[in-house]
Amino acid sequence: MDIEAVRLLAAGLAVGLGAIGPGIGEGIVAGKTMEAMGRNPEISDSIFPKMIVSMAICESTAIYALVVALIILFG
Amino acid sequence: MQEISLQANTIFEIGEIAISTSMLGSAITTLIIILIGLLTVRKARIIPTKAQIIFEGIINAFMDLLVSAYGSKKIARKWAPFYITIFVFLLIANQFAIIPIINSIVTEDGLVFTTPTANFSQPIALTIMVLGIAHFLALAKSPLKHIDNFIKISPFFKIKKPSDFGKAIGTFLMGISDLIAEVAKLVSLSARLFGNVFAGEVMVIVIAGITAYTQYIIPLPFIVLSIFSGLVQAYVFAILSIQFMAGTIKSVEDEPTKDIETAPKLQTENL
Repeated sequence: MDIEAVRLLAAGLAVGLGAIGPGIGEGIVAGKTMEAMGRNPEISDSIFPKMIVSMAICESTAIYALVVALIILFG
Repeated sequence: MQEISLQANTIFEIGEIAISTSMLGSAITTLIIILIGLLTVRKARIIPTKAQIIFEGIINAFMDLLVSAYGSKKIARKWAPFYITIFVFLLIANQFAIIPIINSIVTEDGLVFTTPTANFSQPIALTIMVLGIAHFLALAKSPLKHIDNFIKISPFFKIKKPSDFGKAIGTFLMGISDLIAEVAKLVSLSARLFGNVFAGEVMVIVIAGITAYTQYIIPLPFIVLSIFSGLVQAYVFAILSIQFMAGTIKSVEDEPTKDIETAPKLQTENL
């Protein structure tokens, strides 16, 4: 394999593998939020911003993988 | 297909200082904010105009967050302008790509106007500013206590029997891991903003560059997605900087200042 092929493979694998965990994590966050909202609809407004923040924090590992992949591709 | 690069293009130089596209974008964003602000304030009345409602809503939402983070309304009011500036700046800077026409201006070096936060220099500068101010204030307030939060040698002076020695070493190692967590904050806060904004741009460019037919309607959902993630990231950056800064400053205070009226309300009705 030449170096260009390895780079493309590495970038794809970095994002592909790095997105597994955050995908599961964000699913859990969203599911639990829905559960809480269903149980107590009055607090939906106060839960929603917290859900967005915690989702963004869950997402950060995927973003690290993405940044690494982008540096591999375009850096 | 448009060329994608991580580095910002240099447009021109003033003396030794190279002015990059990211800096130009930041300057334009600042001008836009000043313009919107002036236009809003000029028409400000007791019965609010539409723009006034938006700005007052932002300020109210942030005041609530700040009061619950700092625990005191006085300190919250003192810090509100700082965080709201960061939020409004990012809110407009992240949407730079949807301003029409000027995103098509190209020189031989590349695009002249690009999203400021899509270059790593802008997010890392904001992050260094936020964390730097937090540590500076904590050091100014009580230097020994702040250093002791990270390099925990005080348990070593309290050793009375041999079994305390292991505990002291454990506390010291915890302090070292806090030190590493501080560096991780710097990386995570900046990389999150940069990654989201840059990925949104790259996605649109890639989708538009697949074939000639995918240039027009197909990228629309991805543009909407990147607008949404830009809004969310502005909010998240402001929230996390509030949390980090309040946490760092609170850790050196003797006891948390709290007035009872401003403590977060419990929602007990209808339970």
